[in-house]
Amino acid sequence: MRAEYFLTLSFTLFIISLYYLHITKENILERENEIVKKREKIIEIKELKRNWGNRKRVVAVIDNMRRYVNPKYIKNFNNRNGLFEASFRDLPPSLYNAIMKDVWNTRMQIISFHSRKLIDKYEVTLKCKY
Amino acid sequence: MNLSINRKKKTLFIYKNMPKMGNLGNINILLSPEFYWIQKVKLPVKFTFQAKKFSNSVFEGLLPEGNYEYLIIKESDEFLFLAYDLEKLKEFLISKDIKIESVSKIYFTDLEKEFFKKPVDLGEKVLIDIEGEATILNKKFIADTTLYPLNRNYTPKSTYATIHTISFISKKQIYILSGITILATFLNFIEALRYNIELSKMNKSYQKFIEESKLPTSSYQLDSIHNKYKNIDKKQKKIREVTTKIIKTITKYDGIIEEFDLKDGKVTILVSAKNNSIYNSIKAELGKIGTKQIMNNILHIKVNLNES
Repeated sequence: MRAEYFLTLSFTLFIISLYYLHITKENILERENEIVKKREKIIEIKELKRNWGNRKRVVAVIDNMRRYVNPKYIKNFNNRNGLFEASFRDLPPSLYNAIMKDVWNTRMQIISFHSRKLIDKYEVTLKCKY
Repeated sequence: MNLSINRKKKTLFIYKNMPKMGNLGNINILLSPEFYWIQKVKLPVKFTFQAKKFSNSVFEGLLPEGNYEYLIIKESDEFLFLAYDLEKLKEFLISKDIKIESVSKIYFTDLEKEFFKKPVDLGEKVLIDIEGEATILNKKFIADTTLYPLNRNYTPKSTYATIHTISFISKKQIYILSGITILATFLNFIEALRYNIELSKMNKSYQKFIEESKLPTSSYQLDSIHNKYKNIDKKQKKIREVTTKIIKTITKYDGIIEEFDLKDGKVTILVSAKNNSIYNSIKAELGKIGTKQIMNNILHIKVNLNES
């Protein structure tokens, strides 16, 4: 092989290697960005799920509510398949506040909440999802 | 460096007693027999590249000391070997003011029978065909022969015309440069390989991360889950923020919540108070949050949480 051809060949190989290196770099950067974005999204989803998809915590709060509210105040108390529906009557202000606090502070999704004050007692109807 | 083939280039006949030339632009050159040696031999090989190995032995003891290049042409069952000293040729061209880098191809007179079919007048000497071989003779040996002027427009026609190129950098330099380029190429590939290994590690680590997260791998599914929870988060946070702010304001001014209704993103709160100044304080503190209206001595606060 003549020297000139050898040089031409080596230059060609060099250019190909440069191009290959460039493509590989681009690929790794692109993939890195993609992975970083996906990781961030997954971390955010996990955080959101921890907040709004923690069934155990919500169920524990509802079970506790069932325990601390005297049955005489309960008109309806239904907690099934991630849906919590309840209505209470003649609730004293302390219980009303406790129920309100539980619903508001626990990450259950409030669909509807209705309360009415009758003299010193409260009527409450609520519907939540979790 | 290879210079491209250009058939329109002028061909300059190179002989020992030629005059000095000026700048001729890009040219091809046709060497007189004074610059090369020729041998025709039969060899027990089939191809030119195999015959090349015999170059030195073919000319053994025949050539003066020098650094020779060889051109080998296969002619039926024989090989035609041409040996020429490129360095000496370069020196000669420079001595005649011919720029080395302007020379593209070197042709050899012996391969251009047409060129020396008739005796060519070269001043003190003559180029003549003796038994099919180009020969340079002193004029006095062929006194009675008719001489013809040098054909300056001759274009080599032989199919065996060489396309050998003169380099303006030496062979050694070419090999050094090639070596450096090959080394750089090798390093580039090593670097690319390193990147690929990194990429593979990154993918593995990500795969492990996603498996541990127990979430789907596709972007579409991830986006869908993300959007679902993001909307819940936004809506529920707004419900809590707005209602908490309103309730806190009402209790701050000793207002009493008579009725509280939250449905379909709409909040209605009915507030009673001892006097109107309390209503005004509540209204002032809530500012732009929802609409406030006093009806039958009851403050009606209405907020649409669906409005951004």
